[in-house]
Amino acid sequence: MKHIRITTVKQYVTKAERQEDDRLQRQMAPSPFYLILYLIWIAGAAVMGNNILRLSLPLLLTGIAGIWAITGLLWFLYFFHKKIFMVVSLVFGVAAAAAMYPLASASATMGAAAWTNTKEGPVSLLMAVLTAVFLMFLLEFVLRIHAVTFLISAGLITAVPFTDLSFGLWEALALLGCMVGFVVLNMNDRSRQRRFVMKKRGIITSFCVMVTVGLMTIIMLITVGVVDWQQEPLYAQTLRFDDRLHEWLIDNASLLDEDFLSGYLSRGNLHQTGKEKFELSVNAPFYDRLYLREFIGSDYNGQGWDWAELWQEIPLELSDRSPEQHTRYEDSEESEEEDWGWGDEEEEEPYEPTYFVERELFVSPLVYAAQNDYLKEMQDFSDFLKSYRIESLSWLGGSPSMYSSLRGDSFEVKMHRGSIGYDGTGKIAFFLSEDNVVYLLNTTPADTSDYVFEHFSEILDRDPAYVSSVRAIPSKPEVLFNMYSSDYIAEMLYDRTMAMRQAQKEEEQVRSGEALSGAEPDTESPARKLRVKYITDFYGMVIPYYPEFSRSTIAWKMVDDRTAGAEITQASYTVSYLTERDLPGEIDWSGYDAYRNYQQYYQNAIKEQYTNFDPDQTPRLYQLCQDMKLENVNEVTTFILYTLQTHAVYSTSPGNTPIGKDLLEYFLFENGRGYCIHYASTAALMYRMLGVPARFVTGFGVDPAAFGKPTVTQEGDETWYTSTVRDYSAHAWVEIYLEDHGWVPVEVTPTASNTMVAEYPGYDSMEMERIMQKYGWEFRKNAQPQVQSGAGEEGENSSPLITWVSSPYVFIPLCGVLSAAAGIVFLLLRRKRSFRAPVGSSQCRLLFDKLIRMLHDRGHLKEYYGSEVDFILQLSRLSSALSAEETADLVHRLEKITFSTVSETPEDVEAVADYYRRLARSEYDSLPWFRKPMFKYVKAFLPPGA
Amino acid sequence: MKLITVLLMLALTWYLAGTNRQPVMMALAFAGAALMVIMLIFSQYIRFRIHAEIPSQPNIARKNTQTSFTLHTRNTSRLPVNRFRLTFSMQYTTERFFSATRRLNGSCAGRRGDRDNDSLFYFTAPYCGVIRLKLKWLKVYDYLMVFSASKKIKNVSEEILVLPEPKEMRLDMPPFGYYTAEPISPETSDRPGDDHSEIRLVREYRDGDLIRHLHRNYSARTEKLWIKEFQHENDYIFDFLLDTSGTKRLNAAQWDAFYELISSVMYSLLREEVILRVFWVDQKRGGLRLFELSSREDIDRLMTELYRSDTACTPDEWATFTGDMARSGMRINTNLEWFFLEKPVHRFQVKNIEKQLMTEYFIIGR
Repeated sequence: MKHIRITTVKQYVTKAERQEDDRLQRQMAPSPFYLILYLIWIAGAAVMGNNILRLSLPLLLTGIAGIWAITGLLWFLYFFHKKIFMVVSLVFGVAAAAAMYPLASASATMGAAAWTNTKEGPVSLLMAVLTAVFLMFLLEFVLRIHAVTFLISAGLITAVPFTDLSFGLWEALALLGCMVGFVVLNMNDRSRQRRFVMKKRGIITSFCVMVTVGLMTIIMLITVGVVDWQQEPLYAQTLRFDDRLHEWLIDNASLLDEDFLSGYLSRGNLHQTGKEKFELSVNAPFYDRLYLREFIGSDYNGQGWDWAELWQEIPLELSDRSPEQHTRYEDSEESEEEDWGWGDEEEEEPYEPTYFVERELFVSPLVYAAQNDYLKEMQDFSDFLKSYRIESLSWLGGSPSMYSSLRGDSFEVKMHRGSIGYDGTGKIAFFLSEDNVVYLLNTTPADTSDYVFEHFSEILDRDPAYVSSVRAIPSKPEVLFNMYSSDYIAEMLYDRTMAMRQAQKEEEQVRSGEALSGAEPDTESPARKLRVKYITDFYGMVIPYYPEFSRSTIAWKMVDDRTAGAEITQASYTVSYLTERDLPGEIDWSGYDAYRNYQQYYQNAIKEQYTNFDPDQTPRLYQLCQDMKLENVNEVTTFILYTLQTHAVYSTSPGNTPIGKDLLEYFLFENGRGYCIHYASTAALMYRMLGVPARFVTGFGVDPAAFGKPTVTQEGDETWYTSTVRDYSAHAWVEIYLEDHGWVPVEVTPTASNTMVAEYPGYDSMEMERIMQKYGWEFRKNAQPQVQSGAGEEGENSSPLITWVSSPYVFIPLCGVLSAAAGIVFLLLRRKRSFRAPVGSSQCRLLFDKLIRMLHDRGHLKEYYGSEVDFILQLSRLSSALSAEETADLVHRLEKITFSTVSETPEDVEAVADYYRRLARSEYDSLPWFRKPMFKYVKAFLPPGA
Repeated sequence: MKLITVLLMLALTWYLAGTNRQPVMMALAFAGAALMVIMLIFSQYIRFRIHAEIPSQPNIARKNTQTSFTLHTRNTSRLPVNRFRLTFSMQYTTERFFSATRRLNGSCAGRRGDRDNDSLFYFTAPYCGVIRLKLKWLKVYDYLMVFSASKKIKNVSEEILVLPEPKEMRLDMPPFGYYTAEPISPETSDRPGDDHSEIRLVREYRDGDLIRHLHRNYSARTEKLWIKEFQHENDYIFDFLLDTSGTKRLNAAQWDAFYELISSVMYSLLREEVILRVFWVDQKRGGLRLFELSSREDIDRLMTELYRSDTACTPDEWATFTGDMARSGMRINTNLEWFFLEKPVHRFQVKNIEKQLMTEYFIIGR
């Protein structure tokens, strides 16, 4: 069965028809409108990219004008002098290849940027630009592939949030308008209709492009106003969606799990979804923000902060264990992670407690002093000592602290002097320091220079009779080690009585088979306590400031209950701590001279480490701080608060930091928006630059309001208040070192009203006010960021003209003027064009049809179309512009042209045009003045020159 | 797919704008969404404003010859339509399943350009017969071609008669006087008027015609000279029967072969300067129809009449209508059997019938 063949292309085209088609094809050259569209696109892309190119305004405008001129020339040559265009293309292609070859080879060796600084560089670069212009012209006008310009526009717009591209209203309209135009053009250029279809489609396409682009422009202007009016609510909606998306991705795809509590500084927005982190229980209400430290940073590396070296592996040579034994206790984050179940599930091993060996630890003298009350209770220890042989020994020990803060092998500490006690079998039993701190040993080394220490559980397994706590005994006199396992938070100033009692109690517990749990120190200490209980996948260890160094045991339930795949659900630990209010106001240093020396050594060490910074990383920040001459830490703090408050506002959605820009400098000097990590990091760097040891810290800042409705439980004599800490409380701050106080937190993140509320011992709002007045500083009143343009040190790219043009409030009137001008030009061109018949059509017929429409529009002869018998009579009666003979002549000419095979002559055209002109003029003159522009320009009834 | 892509791009733009605090991008996203809404409304609006029709035009085509047709679209709105798609089909009326469906893409000017909204297409019919050109769907797109709206076109169709190309067979005709013609009954005659036995036709005056043969009455009325042409006494008159009885429903190829055969025989017989009286059953007219052929131009009119007739009949009906007419003339049936005085001349095959007609030599009545 054969099928009917249907095509839209004629099968056999005669030579004459082909020539006609070619002629029409030539006449189908894009009108200047398309060229203008393309030139606008070039200008928009150039202005947009100039934030990266950083050209001065005159140079930019010259460049744009140059590209426009070249494009216009190519357009003219291609559509009107094709042969010359071919020659020019050939010559240009050869020259471009010859000039760009050295550019390409140089880029491979020395880099394009370096090449442009050489003598040949700019020439080759210019040729590269010209080549790009030529290639784009080929794509757009010769091959009519509009997708490339569309994709470039879309790519530029999409890249705006991640780069330094500017995107003002002008750029948006230029790119968007052209994108829309190119889409419409692309739809039509794809088909290859011939003859009258091509001719007609070109006219329709032009109209459609203009309508679409114009519509888009009007809508864009309206939406700019709407967005400007309701910016924040619109952003808030998007951010809420972003938070939900973020949460979903984390829950379902394990993606974007940002580790806020680490040194990494996010370059985007803050996502907080209220996710639960852990349960926090306290035994006493607190009235100030409770800072719980988790990460402490040392050096800023541009992406974030490095970890402060708080932990260090135990050197193998300091241990008398065999490698196999030592391996068991190696400090390994990876093995710890695997133990936590994050490694290979199939190779799960029983949990092994891990030793962390700290290098120098330090405790605040005030805490130390506060602790001394306990030491006064150790009167009965003398009885204990009587059973041991005491031998004096001068060697170095130390007062271990919760957080080590020192780096460096160069650090040396001379610590306490004390005595070693031996038990009845000759084994070293303990060391009693001068300040009555007891250190207990549980193994017998060969000599005093070689000490061994073992884990509590190991000792119990081997020799339960021994005291089951571990103390730090330095193996080298000049170096202090303090060792504790992951089961312990800290072993510090130790209440020997308490320790013994505690150890015996735990020993009994283990023997009785009870699982170790969060044992609390058996003491009547009034110290505050907080307990952290893990309930989700958060397993960081958060410690408050001023931890009390009584012995605390963290007994992970998982030690006993851990099985493959078991969830760690009840792990918890308890820390005793003090608040600032609990500390004594003054220190009685009598009897603590060694400790005071110790503090001095400590201060010297941290001075070197925690005032470290790289000026090349944040040159503007360095420049800002360099010239400041401030007298003390309070003035430094005030200056930092003043700088932060006047340069930025708090926002959890500051947007993305462009690629290649330093996060902190972009925050402070360009964006002006950020949240706690930005403020804390900037403050930490500024402190260092101004000579104050400072550290960047992340953790949780729990406000008393978070304990608004706690769960109250009674455990023995103690009342515990429990509340769940969520990710809302995750926070970053800076801590500075204060003499006699140690590391104290400084809150540098403003409140919602952009108010600074930093306080620490010796500094409060009154002190801040005094210093502000001294230097004449003033906080900003409004909460808007002082956003600066993208100008760099050498930047002159953001010229006033571009900024002005990009401003929507200035652009709207400008756009109005341009639109009006464009509208006028359009009407004039349209009017002129409406009196020109398309090729192949009759000019007389066009004029006659226009005449009929004009009459109908004016309300005359609405039932006549020119072929009626009495049309001549009616028309001649209607207007005095034409006599009856002239009207008859007009109609007869039209009849001849329409119904006979005779084509119109120039005389016909001239006569009909004259008749039309006179009639139109007559109608125009009869109109009131306010209707004349409509008749003449909008409806285009009056011909040009009439 | 395009709509999804556009919506995804707008969503991405909105997302990037909101999370990075870019007011112009946010405006861009909303402007894009607003534009999409407008385009959607526009496509729906245009759907009710655009109509398609088949303008009146000659509806004759030749088999295997590319013929052009225009389809007219009328846009009653002021705004032009950048792109529309008109779906139409062409199907032989004898076929139920095989049809050619095409989509015609075009643009449509606004109200003022109404006259120019013609879309041209070409078709080539492989068989003779009647083709029904039917407009089916009209789909319009917005300017960005993201949205479309379509509507079904009802009751817009046109019939196109595909006539066979003139072909002449090689015939060996019997000598003159071999048979005579029966008189034609007035009721079935297609040519009312004067005595058909004398006046064969009336035609325009040519140089050399006898003045006495002027048809004075008609000439006076029309102000032109007309000549009466009389029947020659020795004209051949063939009765030609087109037997469409007793056949099952034929497909287009079979009908094409039938028509090709008829046409070729007609052309060949007329070459021999015979007058043909063609008879066939037309149920629409309730009986036998007669069409007298005396020139080649008449063949096209015959085929046209034949196409438009309802030729289906049973053998009994055929016998009732024709009686013994076949005994004194030629007969061709839909099985492509050719009889002369009820003696078989040839039986054709549907396949390659044209080749058979052109290459073979047929002897009539020997």
